[in-house]
Amino acid sequence: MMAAEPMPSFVEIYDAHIDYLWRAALRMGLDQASAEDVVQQTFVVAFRRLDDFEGRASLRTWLFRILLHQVRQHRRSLRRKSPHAFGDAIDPDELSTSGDTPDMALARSQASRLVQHFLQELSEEKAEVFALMEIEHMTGPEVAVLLEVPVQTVYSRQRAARAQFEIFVGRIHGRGK
Amino acid sequence: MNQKDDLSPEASKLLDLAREVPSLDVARREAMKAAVLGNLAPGAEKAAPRGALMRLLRSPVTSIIVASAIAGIVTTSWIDSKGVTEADTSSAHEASRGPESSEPPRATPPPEPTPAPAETPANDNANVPTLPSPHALATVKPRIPERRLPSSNEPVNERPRTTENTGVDPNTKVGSASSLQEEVRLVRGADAALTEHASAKALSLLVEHERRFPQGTLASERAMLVVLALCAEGRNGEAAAQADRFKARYPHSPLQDRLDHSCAGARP
Repeated sequence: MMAAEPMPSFVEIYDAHIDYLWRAALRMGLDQASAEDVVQQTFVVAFRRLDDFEGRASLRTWLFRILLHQVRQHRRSLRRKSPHAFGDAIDPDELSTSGDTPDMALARSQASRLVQHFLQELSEEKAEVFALMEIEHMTGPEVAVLLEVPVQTVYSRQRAARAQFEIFVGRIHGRGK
Repeated sequence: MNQKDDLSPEASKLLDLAREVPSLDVARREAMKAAVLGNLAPGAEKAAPRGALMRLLRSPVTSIIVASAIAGIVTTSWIDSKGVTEADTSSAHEASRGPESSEPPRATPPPEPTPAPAETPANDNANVPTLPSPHALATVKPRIPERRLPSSNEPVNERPRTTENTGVDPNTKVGSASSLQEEVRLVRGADAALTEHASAKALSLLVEHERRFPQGTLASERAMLVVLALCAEGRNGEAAAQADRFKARYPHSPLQDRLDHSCAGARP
């Protein structure tokens, strides 16, 4: 009888995936404090449900799916509490430690805030697809597997989200409403 | 299919800039790890938001235990694999043997039944498991089950894997979520007992931790708490000996600072 591959320990799983989940949470539009909460919750949920992991997807994909769920819950909670919230102000400490020139750091930070704001404007479904495809660079089929929706649905949401993003960018540049 | 080209240059540029997110710094990474560990511990069954997690960790004792445990995990594993553990992992057993056990023999005592911590009242030394004296240990022979060959007509059964002799569950991988929960429960219990001035109870929990997780993730915390428990018991000489072992084994441990402020720290 073949022995099952042993499940990695908590520390191994955490160390292997924390950076990925952290970046993904930020790219999905969360500020750092929220990302910290959400990523922690992701690991807590993952370790309580480790027995449910069937090994059909990779561990990273499984964790990412939990992260997505946590991000959704976080957004719903945020919308209930403060429907008009725009996110945090820019933290000068973050700019000074980013390794960029101040101008570039500021540009990145502002861009990140703008995209966060855009993602908060979108519906949950479109925001997920947009973040995964446009920011995480996942392919349509990958996103379809992750979200468990047909690939055509993924592309449809992507098109709609892109159109809204163009309008959003146009607004920033003063090209309309 | 790459539709990025379909986006306007301004939109693409904005996305390119936004894609660069701040990386996770080491301090935050470790704090988060500690928070997750704390949340996985028994008594914290409900997933709590960060505020609650951080409140849990704000307890200086808990945070130093958990955070430094994480820092020492890799080192611990490596050192353990090199066989350096033998001297140190027996510290809890040695500590609980008695004042005259400064140089105890290496024989490993058979595991004693340990009362569940929850049933052990604070300040009740009567519930501390009885451990063999060092003299008894010097002469004790390891309990090795007798082997005999089965007779020809006797069915041969596979020997079951039990924890009878070692007390260590062979199926429990050190560092797994379940074993970590249990380790945290024991070490945190010992720490709480020390806070309540129940040093005997603390030692009993540390003995149990050593028996079940001799090379556990929280081995360094156990070693540190043994020193503090010995100090609390007034067994300063033993505490100093254990502190020296701790220092030799974990020279860069942040827990060292806590030992420096114990009875074992104020030495020339």
